[in-house]
Amino acid sequence: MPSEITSDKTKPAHAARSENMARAIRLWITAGPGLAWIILFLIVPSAILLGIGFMSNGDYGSPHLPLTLDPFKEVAGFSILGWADGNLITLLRSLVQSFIATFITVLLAYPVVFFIITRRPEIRPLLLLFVILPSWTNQVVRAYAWVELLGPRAPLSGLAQSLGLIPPNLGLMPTNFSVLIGLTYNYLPYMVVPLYAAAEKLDWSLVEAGRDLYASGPRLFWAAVFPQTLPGLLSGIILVAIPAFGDYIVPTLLGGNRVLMMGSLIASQFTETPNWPYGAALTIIMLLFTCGGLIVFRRMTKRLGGGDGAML
Amino acid sequence: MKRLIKYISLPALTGLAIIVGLAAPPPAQAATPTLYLFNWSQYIPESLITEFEISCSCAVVETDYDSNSEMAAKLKAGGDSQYDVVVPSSYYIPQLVHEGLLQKLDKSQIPNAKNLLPQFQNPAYDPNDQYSMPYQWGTTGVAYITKKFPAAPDSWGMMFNPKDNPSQPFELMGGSGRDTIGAACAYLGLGFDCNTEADWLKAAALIKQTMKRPNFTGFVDGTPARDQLKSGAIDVGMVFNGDIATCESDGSCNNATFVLPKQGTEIWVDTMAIPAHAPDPQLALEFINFILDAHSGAELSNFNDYGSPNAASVPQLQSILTSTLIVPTDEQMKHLMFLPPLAGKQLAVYNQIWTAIRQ
Repeated sequence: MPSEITSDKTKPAHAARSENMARAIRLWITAGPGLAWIILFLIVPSAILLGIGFMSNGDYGSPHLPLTLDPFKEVAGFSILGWADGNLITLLRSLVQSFIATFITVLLAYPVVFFIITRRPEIRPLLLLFVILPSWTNQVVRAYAWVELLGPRAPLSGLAQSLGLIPPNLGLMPTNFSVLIGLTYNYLPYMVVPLYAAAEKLDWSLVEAGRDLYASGPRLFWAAVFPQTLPGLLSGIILVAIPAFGDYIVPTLLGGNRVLMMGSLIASQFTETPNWPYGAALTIIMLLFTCGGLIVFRRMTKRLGGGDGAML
Repeated sequence: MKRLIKYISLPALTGLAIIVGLAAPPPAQAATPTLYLFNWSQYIPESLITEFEISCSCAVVETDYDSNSEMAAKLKAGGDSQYDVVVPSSYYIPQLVHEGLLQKLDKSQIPNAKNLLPQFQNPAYDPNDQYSMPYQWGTTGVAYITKKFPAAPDSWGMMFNPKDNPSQPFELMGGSGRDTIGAACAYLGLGFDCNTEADWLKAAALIKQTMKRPNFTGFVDGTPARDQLKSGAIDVGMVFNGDIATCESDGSCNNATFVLPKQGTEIWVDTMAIPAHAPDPQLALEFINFILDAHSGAELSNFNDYGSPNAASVPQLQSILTSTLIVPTDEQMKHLMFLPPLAGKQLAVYNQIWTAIRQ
């Protein structure tokens, strides 16, 4: 027992100190810039936002003292004109948009991923690159490409007009349909990549075993394939659902900017219809919800995918 | 935990110091004075910038914005000490003055102010020209594809009356919504410059109804709306007169007609002002005086296709800039008005109503 205690003390103190020093220097060099970046561009702005969220609205929408809870009351729908369901509707609309976009990308990603992983290993990275490549272009530029493709004078719109799907004179854009196309197109790579990572490691012997037992195709997918891709699927859902929830570039450009999404509701509080405290309060609430959602998802991923929630 | 904090805090602080050091502006060079111009995008010709740089032996650094609200937000966030000249629209002047973001102009340094047309001197939005000098001016109106509307009325009904436009795609102005609310008010006979809650609510109901029509395609700003007219995405839109003058002078307008609705519409002035803590207010005054010179004023308007507030520039203007598209007749002028500035509770109420329309 005493020998255990003395073993540490037998080491010369100066050696231990210089070892500590070297470690601290290594930490400075490696972690310093990253940490500073996070503090400067995440922690500090978030703290400022948190402060603004509790301030009063000034004459021209800028934050003023005294501190108040009014911004949060406004988030709940209580404004100067009484209660309105606008925020609730905007929230629901953004959730629905996010849900549908995620659902469609999942439906599209599975066939794409299984097409790729059943090709020769040499060409798989190339095929994956084709999926990722469009996302290297700016989102706004790609949205404008769809504006051209779906506008009233585009051949596709002409076809839809002659089939009687849309009224004459009008285009496929701006409609809810064009918003969905834009979102799906935008976020498909974020679903394909994690799903591919999970599917590439697929244990095919389980599939063969299922075949030997005469399992039907759908049964085989649900029992042998789907559980193995679940970690990738959950990562993909997070990567698609969260940005699709806040996205307002696609609804603005492809949806004609007719209705507000959560993202544009917040943005306009700092510009067009200025009320900075209200905008800050909206942001805080949205961040809290997103974090809550992430925690729930992390738990689910851990339980279903055996702790492979690496994306989190 | 304490050790963790100790380990993290030191490297983090060092890194912070490095980033701040990198981000700090380089020491000002005394040799070349620099004018920091904060202007709408594409609102001044390169040639005019070069001419000014030569005349003042200085450099000009331009930063762009796309809306008054964006400009005001940046000034509030510390931009009032970064820029020497900003170009706010007339209805934003009272707000910027009230928030202390502008400084008074030393008019003895702007002798060219005498060149201004009388109607642009001592305007209602800035009594005695204390804070601003006119830059360009224009009107907001309705543009439509002529062949699709053989008998179009000069009325806001092109937007709000299904009988005037049963099936052709059209848009309304977005942004802060002031123009769209004003247009709806004007159509209802409440005046484009309506500013009471009751009037706004009536306008909001009309806009909500209009949004349900199948040929309503969305909220777009003036210049993008002009581009949509050109590409055929819409057949009717709310645009600024200068946008149509630009495409008319190069023949790309897709045969659009611009009208000022008889129910009344907006006249606006974009102005030059100096932020409260401008780095070089002396140079800013020199720039303002330079723009108000007869030759510069003409060059500016010939580039922008907007009206010149400068009487001395008129002989050097392109013919379209003296046509009724840019300079409305006296009869039309009677129906033009400035947007009233909003503040405090009134602005809060307005914002609520406009947001509710969009939600």
